[in-house]
Amino acid sequence: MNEFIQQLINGISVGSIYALIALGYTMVYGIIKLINFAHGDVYMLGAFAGLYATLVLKMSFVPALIFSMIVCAILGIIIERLAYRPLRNSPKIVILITAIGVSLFLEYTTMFFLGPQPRAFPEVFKHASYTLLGGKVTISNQEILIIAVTVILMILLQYIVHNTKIGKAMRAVSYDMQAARLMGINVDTTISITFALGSALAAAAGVLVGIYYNKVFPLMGIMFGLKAFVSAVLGGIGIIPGAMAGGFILGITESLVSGYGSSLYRDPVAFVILIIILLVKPSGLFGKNVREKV
Amino acid sequence: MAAILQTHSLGISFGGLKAVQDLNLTLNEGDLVGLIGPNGAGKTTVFNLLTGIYLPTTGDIIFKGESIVGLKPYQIAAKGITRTFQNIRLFGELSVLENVLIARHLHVPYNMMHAIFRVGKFYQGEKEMRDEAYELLKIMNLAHKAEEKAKNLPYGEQRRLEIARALATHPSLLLLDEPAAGMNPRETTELMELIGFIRSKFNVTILLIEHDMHLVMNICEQIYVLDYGVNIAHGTPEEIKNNPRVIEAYLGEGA
Amino acid sequence: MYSAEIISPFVMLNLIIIAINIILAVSLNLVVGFTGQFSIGHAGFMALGAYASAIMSLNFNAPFIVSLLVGAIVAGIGGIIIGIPTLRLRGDYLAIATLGLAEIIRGVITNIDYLGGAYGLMGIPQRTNWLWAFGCMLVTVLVIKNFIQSSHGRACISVRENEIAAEAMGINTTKYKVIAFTMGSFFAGIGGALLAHYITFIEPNAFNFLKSFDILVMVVLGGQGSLTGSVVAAIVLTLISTFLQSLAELRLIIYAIILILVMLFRPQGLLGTHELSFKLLQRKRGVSHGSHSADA
Repeated sequence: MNEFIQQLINGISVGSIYALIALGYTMVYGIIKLINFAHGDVYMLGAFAGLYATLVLKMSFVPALIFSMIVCAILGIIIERLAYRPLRNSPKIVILITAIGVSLFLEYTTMFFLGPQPRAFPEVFKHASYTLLGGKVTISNQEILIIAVTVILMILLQYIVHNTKIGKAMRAVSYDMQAARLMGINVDTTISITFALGSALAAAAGVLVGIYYNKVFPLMGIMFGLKAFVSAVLGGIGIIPGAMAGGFILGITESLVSGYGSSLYRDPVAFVILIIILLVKPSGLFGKNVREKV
Repeated sequence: MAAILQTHSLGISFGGLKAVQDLNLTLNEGDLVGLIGPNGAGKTTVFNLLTGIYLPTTGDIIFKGESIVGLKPYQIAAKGITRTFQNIRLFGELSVLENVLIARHLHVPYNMMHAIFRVGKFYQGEKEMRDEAYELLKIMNLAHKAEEKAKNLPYGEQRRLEIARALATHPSLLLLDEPAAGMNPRETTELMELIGFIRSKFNVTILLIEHDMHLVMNICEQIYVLDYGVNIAHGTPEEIKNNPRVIEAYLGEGA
Repeated sequence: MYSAEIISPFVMLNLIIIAINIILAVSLNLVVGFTGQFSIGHAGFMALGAYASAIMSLNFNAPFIVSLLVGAIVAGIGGIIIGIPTLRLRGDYLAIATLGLAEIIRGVITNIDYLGGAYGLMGIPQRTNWLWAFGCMLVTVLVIKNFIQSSHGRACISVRENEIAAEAMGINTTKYKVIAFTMGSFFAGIGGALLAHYITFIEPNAFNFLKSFDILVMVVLGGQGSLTGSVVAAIVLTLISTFLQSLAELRLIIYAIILILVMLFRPQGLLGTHELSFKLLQRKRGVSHGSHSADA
């Protein structure tokens, strides 16, 4: 039982990361039906931004986090403006390829300038472990931090989406872009803000991962990005609570499989879940099947 | 006269919404029948049911004596039912001739191996198919545009091409979904003549959806009226014109 | 062979790689460009072909033609198995599924010792030479061209253009998607087998997403729906890739920028849906297709 709870805790912390990144995928897909391949790389750049903030600018954790989130929000807006907005009415495959192009560009430019070797985060705060249940289960303060930050950010996001005008605009545009435009909503701005929010969340995930795993490198966005994407699809791509649920489910499943089975099976879990979802219910757990109108 | 198509209590619900309810349609061979009703009445849904795009929740569809419920659209096309679409669905990047050729694929006289190895049968078959397709285009007055990309045709010709393409499958039953949409009176009159002409020349039964009352009243021999998924009237144009329920359905809608 | 003396090894390498890339690009174009199916895991089928043929040569001492065919058939079967369930998916979902499945293939290979695991297979006999590469390329292009320019090819194109209308006109769209997919994977398998028997060493990383992406770039740059385009793009991109070889990261950065720029300014690629050479050839031969030339 203790083993189980231990795995659960690990799963929830990893799952939080997946959820944070997945939110970006799902919000962008919900609003412009694009799988933003470059999103995982925004997460990577968030980690690097956090690294810069703590290492060079000597910021402490919270300011570094906010710095990174702002930098990536701006980056997300720039990417959307330059690469995706001009192609809004293009055939799907064109945008897909462009997104892949942006992703590769970010990865290899970073690698070109900063080298492929992993870098470590400076100690932003003292590592501490706490034990629960009479010493059988441990949780580190980093894991607590990850879960706490994730929960705070998710609550913030929910508030923005459901209790503000911009959130309403986001929901309107994802339902029907034309109608939203006719209602006077500035669709371009709404989309930019969506990208900004998603990128900020990914940045936060990047900083948290950087601190937790103590490894920041240019290709770190690939694995985590893919798993976050699977989480988004699992929950129902385009559906915000779905991304949150998907992230946690994937994280927990991975931990259990890795803990009870073998750590070799950890990565394939995401792929297997992806294939199952796509074959059984592509619209995801919370999704509805949308028919093409004939 | 043989009944070529019959539906028995045909219905479909999407969630709680009954899009089509309890529809009993009978078409005899060679008939020219209209399906009318206010917007949202379920007319295109009926077409989608007949062509296998939707699976009915209730009822049956009998075509030439056998039930076609559950068959895929391409199988139903092979059986002899074909259609045009409300929002034109041409193969835009392909030429006018190729659009028609694709519809001939149902009766292609060679197989993949013949094509890959380019044996005589392929060349013969291609020539046959192209000659037939070209003949059809001539009849439909589109032969001069045979090499044009379908998406470059003017609207009226696109609609005509859709009909030509549908005819190329050699159907027994042709479903036309708002063929006159967007046409001016002159084009509509030409269309009316065309429909009458193809009915006799190609020996097809025709069921058409239309909002243009002038066209419907003038060429249809029988009319079914749909309102909120229910068939509220059925009869000759004269009978329908004066049917109070029909008038209410249209005027009540504020049309 | 005379070729080994007249042509330098460097040029030979390039010619063979170009031929292989033409096979890969043309076979992918059949799936993506002509039938409109987003397959971005083509390298997975290459891997199937490479490994199956390598095993035949290494463990069974099979003659090259047998190894080649086994590789192609295994890849083709992979195409059918993967194609049937996934081709129900549309657009983005299909792309992700093919990506995921290619990675799964790679993952499975990495975990099987008989296939060399993560270390790969070495010592594959070098059977690929200019004749084989060129010959296979010719066969690939001819078969695919003949398929495209036939009623069955048109059926595939109709699936791309408007799937619902195609079904309504009697085309079994699922069948043609699977046929195109299987043919595509069959020839990808040939490409993989040729590569394995030239480089004599294969490992799972050679068939990762970047490889699939490389091939996709050739198809998109050349023009989806243009066989000539794929051939031209394969040649051009292979050459660019060779010149940028020493600057690995820079090559990818440049590729990515070129790609983005092309998508922004000329998404139909170099040739769009035109086939320059075929039309010219037909006019020169005065073929009876005459005014009804197929402009696929």
